[in-house]
Amino acid sequence: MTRLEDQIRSIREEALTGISHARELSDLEEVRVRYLGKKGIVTQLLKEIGKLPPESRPTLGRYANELKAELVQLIKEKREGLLKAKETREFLDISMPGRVPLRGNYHPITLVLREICEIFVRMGYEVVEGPKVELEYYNFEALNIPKDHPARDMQATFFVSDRVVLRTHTSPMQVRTMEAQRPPVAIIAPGKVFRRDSDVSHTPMFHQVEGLLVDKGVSFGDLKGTLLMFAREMFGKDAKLRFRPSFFPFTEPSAEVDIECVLCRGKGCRTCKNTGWLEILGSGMVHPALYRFVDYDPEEVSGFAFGMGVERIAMLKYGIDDIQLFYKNDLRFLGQFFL
Amino acid sequence: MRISLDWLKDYVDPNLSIKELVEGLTMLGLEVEDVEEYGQHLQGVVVASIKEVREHPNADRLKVCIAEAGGREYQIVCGAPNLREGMFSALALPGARLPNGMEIKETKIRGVTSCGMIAAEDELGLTDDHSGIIELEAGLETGIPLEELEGIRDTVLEISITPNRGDCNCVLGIAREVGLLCNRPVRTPSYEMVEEADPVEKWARIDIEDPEGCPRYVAGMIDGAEIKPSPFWIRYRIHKSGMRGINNIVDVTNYVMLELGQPLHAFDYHRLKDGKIIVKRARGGEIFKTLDGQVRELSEEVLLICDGEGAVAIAGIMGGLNSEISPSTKTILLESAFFDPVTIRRGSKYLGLQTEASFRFERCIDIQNVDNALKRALSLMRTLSGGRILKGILDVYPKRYKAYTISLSLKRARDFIGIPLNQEEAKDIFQRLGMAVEVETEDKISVTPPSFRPDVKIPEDLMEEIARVVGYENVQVTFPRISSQKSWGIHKRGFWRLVSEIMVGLGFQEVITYSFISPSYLELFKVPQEDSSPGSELRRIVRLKNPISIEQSVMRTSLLPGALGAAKYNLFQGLSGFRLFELGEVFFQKEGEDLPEEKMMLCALMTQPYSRDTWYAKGRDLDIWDIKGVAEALLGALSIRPIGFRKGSYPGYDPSLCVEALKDDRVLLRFGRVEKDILEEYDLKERGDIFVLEGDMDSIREAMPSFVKFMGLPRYPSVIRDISIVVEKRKEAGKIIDEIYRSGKGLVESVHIFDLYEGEKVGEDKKALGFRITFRSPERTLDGQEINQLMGEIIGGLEEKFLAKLRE
Repeated sequence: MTRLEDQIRSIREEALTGISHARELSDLEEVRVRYLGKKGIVTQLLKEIGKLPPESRPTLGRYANELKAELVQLIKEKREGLLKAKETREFLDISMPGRVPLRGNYHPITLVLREICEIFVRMGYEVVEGPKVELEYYNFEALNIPKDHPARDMQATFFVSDRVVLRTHTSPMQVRTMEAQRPPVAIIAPGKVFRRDSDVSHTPMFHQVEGLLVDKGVSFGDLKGTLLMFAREMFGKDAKLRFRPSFFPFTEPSAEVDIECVLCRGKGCRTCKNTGWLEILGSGMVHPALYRFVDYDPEEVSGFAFGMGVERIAMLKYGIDDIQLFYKNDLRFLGQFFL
Repeated sequence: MRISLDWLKDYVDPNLSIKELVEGLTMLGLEVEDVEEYGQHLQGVVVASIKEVREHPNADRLKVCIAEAGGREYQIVCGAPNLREGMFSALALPGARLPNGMEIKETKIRGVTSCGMIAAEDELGLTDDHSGIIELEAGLETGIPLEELEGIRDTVLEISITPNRGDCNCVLGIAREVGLLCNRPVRTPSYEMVEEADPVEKWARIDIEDPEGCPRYVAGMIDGAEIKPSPFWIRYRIHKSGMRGINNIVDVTNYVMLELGQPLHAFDYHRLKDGKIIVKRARGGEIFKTLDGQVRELSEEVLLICDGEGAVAIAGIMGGLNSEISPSTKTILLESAFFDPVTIRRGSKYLGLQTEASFRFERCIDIQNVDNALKRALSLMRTLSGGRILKGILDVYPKRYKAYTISLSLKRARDFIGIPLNQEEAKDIFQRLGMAVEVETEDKISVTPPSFRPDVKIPEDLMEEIARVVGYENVQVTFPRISSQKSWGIHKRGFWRLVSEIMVGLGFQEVITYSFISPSYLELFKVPQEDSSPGSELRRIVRLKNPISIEQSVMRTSLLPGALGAAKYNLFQGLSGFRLFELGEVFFQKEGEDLPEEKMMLCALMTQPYSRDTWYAKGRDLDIWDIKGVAEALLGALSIRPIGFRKGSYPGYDPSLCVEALKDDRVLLRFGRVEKDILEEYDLKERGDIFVLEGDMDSIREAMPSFVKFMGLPRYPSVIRDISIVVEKRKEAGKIIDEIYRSGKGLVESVHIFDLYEGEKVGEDKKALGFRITFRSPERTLDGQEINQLMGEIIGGLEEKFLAKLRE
């Protein structure tokens, strides 16, 4: 009798040590299987007690059952403890900042310029580049702006010499392109332009995109359609345009194009000076005088041209109220634009 | 152009609200930029007549008067010099608040009660005149609010007139457009030429020596005039148009110019030698004093009006001090002429003098209306000065206006504009524009523009008129079919974009800086004078003739000054550890050519530190390896290899840290540290080193492979071996790697430097390098013995060529 009692006692001690030494859940599981598993020591013990003569069964049976219950309870407690410790050990403070790779960004003018170009490229236009330091001939003369014409006052010009200027617009590319290729011509010419104006609302350097389409039977209505399509792509499906008569020596008829104010939706606000409209570009049908310079036949072909200020469009698109910001290159400004 | 609606209504009755008028004019191409109200906020100001004027008992300069308004009499203390019995003026009653903020109360002035104030024009916000109280027309009904007096309340439209519409720089021109807009007739002003004196031919003679410069010169005369201020209503209109009142004669010249667009000039006849007017070119170097008191040197560009002795006016630009109207002038010769626009513009540019007159002549006036304007002015002068008009006018007209016709195909017009239009409609439009129309065929009409529309010359001009009148908004929207053939492939702009993408990916922020900069960088960067030295090309700058300032006076030959400027700005904002880049043009003067060479350049810049302390790593400073890494990453991303590096020197760079990256002996990039002196000059010495990288985009593009060839994936395993060697410090790792490849007999796939040690353990003039060599054959599995043999050869080679020792 006492042999079994001693055995139970020593099993208990071993098991308790095993439980308390378990560091991982797997250790504990091992202990559980060792004592309480199908072939575990305590399980075997209970089976053996069942085989004992009836008189010795109750006492030993009670001891063994008490041991089993105790172990079940201890393992359960230990498991909870270990689980908690594991959770703490594995806690991930995901609010800590990640290892962020450095990222640069584009200048907003680049983004807008690119978007404008992409819209026209999708329509089938080719992108061309031209000189910024330009012959007076291309900047004025061949655009039907003779030397002593008051239209020269419309653009304050930087001169390099009597014959050379900083281009005041991208329009010289109209003539350069027509000189280089026969119709049909469909180009856009983006780039820097320069005017001798520097005040709150002007920077002496800015960007324009010129467009030119010359082909058989191009009409003023086509110009309206093209620019409307552009405005919808650029400013959204609801964009509304207003064409009004104006004057550029190199187009006839000429049209100034306004977009319905993007801020007040045409109701009138400070930005649009209560008119509901914002001027975004100049355009018109190519003046026949230009065709003479490039040896096109105005009876055969017709075309339209337009030129838009990129800063102006960027200001509308992003709601920027100060043109000077574009050339301060403040990183806190430049970092805001991604699309 | 500022247009008073009150004035406009002399010519046309616009049956439109102000808003409709503004919109309508804008849509006709006359953009209304601003609308201003006049004669407002005058509650409590009434018309009054001065019944009686007495001395003030206690003040010499003040008077006490009795003003009558609406049957009531008010005692007013007033100091105006023009106060007199019987005059009509404006009385501000107690409680009134004037536009300038003044509140009127009953007060005592030097012991005498004053029940209000008789106001001056400026106090009423009407003109800027403060010489006395406003003088209204005699015989008005007194007591009525001043605001209700005709012509006081007014709206002025500020209209932007495009340079082609010279005809619209006057009230009459705008009236024609308003008539067109609301389909109403335009009245021509009526005036009476009461000629009372001698024939003008007896007094004066006109001689045009330059009929190109002056195709028409008309003159008339007034004798016995009294020079004095003009009445309020004339000055009020002139003021609202943005000009100032001077005296009755000069005011009439301005008034008629504003009204009819014809600049006029009045001479004091008795100051004209021999009563002669001669129109001729100035002599070069001739000196003349204009009526603004300026002494001006003339050239043959300038057209003059001379008398029997010499110059008396610069034609079409400004009169002379020697013949101007003075208070004692009695006899006036009035000039109304047509001067050639180009001549006037050249003269005006030469003199640097633009006036209301030259502005209008440049934009072309109506040659057929020159005489009418003169008559209108003479009759007004007679009324205002009390003088008599001499009989007849002198009209010298050597180059007569010839009307011309333009033939227009209606089909072409319809196709060109996109407006359906029949012949009747076209005829109607042109007739409303004052153009004569004749029908040639069913499709063709010929149109004769009036003399005031010299801008209409070709069929396209007529088409614009049609579109303008029908309304641009009524042009049908259509979409063109684009049939142009364009070239695809990676063109310049695509390549620029690719490089930008890479730079942005490497953490660089794009900037755009001005293309014109200060020339001071040439000295600051110590750009060498000698042509052969590196960087001397930076001196080939293009200078602007008329820069805004020296800071923006030359076209840049380098992007570096701009990048440093942007870096400085941001460092001074307290930012640090940033990276910038710009893709932009630089400009090099080319010998014997008008246009400079324009090159697209890349410039990138990094500031300290490379990184800050974080929870996972210590921060560290930038060094040359960071910018070299950028160079390698950029060229690597563009598949440009192999790349060589060598030391270089270039203006702006620290001579000890300037490196060139080359492919096939062509420099693609230069990078290094900015010279300390420059940082000092930029006030950036305290902010740590700045590293920069520059490259010519065309060279980089040309170094790119034109196509990429696929290489099969490895089929056999690789073998990796490490070696560590000790060599002299001055031996280059790049050359050692080359040698490893060479002695590896094509079986070395890659060599990676995994360690560099410099220090006591190897000796001061030595360094230890660790290489991880990967061997692989495309044809078979390499065996250990073969590798051992190769390693032996590699080590042997390194020992022989670099005096390398294997490290334990």
